[in-house]
Amino acid sequence: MNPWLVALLRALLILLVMLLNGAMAIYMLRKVLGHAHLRLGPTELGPAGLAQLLADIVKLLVKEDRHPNRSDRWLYIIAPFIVFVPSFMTFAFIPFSNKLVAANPDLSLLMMLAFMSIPPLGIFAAGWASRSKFATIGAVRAVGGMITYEIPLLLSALPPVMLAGSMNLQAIVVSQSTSIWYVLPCLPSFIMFLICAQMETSQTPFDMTEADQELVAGFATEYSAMRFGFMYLAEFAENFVMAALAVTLFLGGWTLPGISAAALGPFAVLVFVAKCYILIFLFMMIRGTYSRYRVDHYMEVGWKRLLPISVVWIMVFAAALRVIAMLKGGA
Amino acid sequence: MISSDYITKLLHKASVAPISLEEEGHLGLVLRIEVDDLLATFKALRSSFEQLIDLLGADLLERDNSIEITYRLRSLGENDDLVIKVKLAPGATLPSVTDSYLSALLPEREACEMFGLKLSGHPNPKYLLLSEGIPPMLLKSVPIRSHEEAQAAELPSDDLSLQMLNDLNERGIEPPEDPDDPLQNYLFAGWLSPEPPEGPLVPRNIRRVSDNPEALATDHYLLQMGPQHPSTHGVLNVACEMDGETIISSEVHVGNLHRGIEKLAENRRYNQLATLVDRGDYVGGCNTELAVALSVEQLAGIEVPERASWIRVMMAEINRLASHYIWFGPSGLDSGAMGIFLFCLYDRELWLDVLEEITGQRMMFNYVRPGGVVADITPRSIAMIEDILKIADSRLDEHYEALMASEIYQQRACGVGVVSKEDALSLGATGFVARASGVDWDLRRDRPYAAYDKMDFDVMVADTGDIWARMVCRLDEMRQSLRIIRQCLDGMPKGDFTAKLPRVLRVPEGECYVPVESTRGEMGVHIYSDGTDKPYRMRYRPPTLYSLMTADLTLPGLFLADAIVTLGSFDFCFGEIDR
Repeated sequence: MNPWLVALLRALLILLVMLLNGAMAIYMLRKVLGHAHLRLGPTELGPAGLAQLLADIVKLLVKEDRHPNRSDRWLYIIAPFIVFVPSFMTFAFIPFSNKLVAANPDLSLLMMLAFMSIPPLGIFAAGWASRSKFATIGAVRAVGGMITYEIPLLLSALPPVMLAGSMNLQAIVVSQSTSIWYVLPCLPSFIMFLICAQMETSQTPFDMTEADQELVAGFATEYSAMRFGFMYLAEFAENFVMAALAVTLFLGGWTLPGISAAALGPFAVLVFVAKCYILIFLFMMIRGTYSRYRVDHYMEVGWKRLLPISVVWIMVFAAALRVIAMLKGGA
Repeated sequence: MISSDYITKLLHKASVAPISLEEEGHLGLVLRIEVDDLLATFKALRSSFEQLIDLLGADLLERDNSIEITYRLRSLGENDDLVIKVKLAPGATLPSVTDSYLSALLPEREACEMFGLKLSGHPNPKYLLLSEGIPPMLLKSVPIRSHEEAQAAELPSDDLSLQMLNDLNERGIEPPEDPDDPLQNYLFAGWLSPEPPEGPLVPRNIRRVSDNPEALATDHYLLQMGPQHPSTHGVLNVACEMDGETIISSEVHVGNLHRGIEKLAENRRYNQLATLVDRGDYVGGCNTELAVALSVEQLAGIEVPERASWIRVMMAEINRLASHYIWFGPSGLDSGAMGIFLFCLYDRELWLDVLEEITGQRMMFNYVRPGGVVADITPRSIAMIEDILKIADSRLDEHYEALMASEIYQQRACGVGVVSKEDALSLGATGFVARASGVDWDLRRDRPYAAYDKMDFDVMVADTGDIWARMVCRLDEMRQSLRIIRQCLDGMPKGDFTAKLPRVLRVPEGECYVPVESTRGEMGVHIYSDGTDKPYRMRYRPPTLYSLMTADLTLPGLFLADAIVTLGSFDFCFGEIDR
């Protein structure tokens, strides 16, 4: 088959997955938050309110796409795509099963994290171009936030790499299926990874960039219609990607303990997606429960807690690995 | 009690000669002085009276061609009030007493704009509720007009940007660099003083650089929070001078919800006043209705049946609970906790159902009227209340766990938005704001009205004055309310629910002030009666106008995020502030 056609099909498939995830996540968010708050979420349109999603998408599509008077027009227009496209591209590296992965380079973990660090630039561009003070504060917070969580995020993703001896996500999953899930030896890393994931996806208690109560809608204050929709689609995509990364690195990816890949067959995809949504459910419950950190406390959590702990933990972990290897070699 | 001899001695020391100092009917001790002696008098009395409770004007042009300004001072230690009255010629200049009592800051502006007076010695003498060009509306000579009539009369435009340009032209100032910038409009909203002061609180074009050597050398900027901001709890506008995310100075702007309730009240019969005040404090209606009813009863000398008083207390407390829930939940929401907001709304619904069962309304009750209440409580409503009382205490514990037990919330609330005891007193804060700052004062206990003297309840006082203290104080208030409701159910006497009154209530000539502890602090109603069936003047002391000043004082130095939580913790009600 034509390799270009294959690539195109793969890209379309990823786009489909991303859109489906967006729809699923919106519905789930409403229902989960609803039930957490003693209410029901959408119930009226379609069975169990499912058609509410369609109504929302139609609403976003037909709303007026307006620009603030003195905004930086071009930056304002492309900013949602700077947010959207990289989060879309990260889906390519997610190993849904042993065969189903759109792109599988040797350094797929590194590639993924690299793409993940682009959306904050888009958020900054959006806030800056809006020429609104609330949006600008949100934008500045996005950049401040990024430099805060990025280093602990990378460091907390390292122990599984050390254990698997590879930066390839598929290889990390495979090596977990032959030993144990890495959440057990790297529990502190897992917890730190989840915290950083919350920061990365800017969800309460770390939703500095939006902070509805303070900044109206943060960086997205001036956006409307589908441009606004794109930013939120990207946010839900990031949610899924961070959950997928946590599942891949720490929770055995598409595998289940004691069942071989051959026996799992096509159900591997379901296992993987189910694990992801369990994590997303956890994120949503946290989002519906806790207060927001103040912006300086957020920085403190990043710089004064996560960073030193992750550095020390990496050193301890690496030393322990070395000692165990020497003991094994000695025996 | 503070004796008149003591006050005479104080005045003599300050070499002030009062016109008169005597007991006057319902008002208690009244001191009448000349305008020229006003500042000296206040200076002399400052040490004996901690608080300036309220300040109001009244149009007595027909009687003796003067505008009367009434001040009410309070000594908390002696539990006694002193009323000071001065008379001014129409259009005269009122000297500001803000040097002695900061709580005069906003009410003075209001009194002057409403009666066409000028204001001198005030740090920020702008219009408060009205726009420049609107006639002083509480003067009897200014008629109430419909929108069409007002348009036909071609009153000056309410458009602030037009006003701004007119004002600039008149004062010979160059227009701002950025004429579209709506942020600068308010700076030219019109002055009440004979001469505009040199510099407004927030400079026109902020180009100030931070004084702090450790800070980045960035310009300050102006951030307009509200009136459409989602978290200012109503139509509050705060102009903040910001350095990054820190507020350097701030100024509150109110008046967006002004409906002229006090003017309308002069055209309503006494038993119709409750509908108006319901639309003032629209979440704590029963308490404000109670204040109106009590003051009318005091003037008319109406004896209220025992059962009516008990029902009034019970309704006031149920309404207090309903009102506190709509504050406790959103206080959590301000800090980003969404769950607690909806939990509290759930509980509020329960109480609203009870209120609906008894009064027929969920918000604008119109239930407490002069003479008693409109309808008796029904067995069904008692059953509903008993059902709620079974779960209410444990639900409050759950709410505490859901919001205040969270460490993140404690970080946000403890030590933030601190109001010192001195500030709370001098800014006229009452109710929970004052109690959270260590002022041990509750009108229900210290000046019992209705049947509160027969109730057993505690008053919680905290001393830190931060957001946390206010939360804790009010959470305890809710528990005490539950206690009082239980006592009401147990001890409710039999009898009539209202006194027999003539259909048209005529009230003898006189003047009185009756305060109640409303959900937000001291809500007082001051009525001038001229012997007809309508009040000559009704002043309604809004407790949150005073806590708004307190909030404004605490904002500088806070982060934007903290400012939101702090503003929320004062529980403003803009129906009441703007009236």
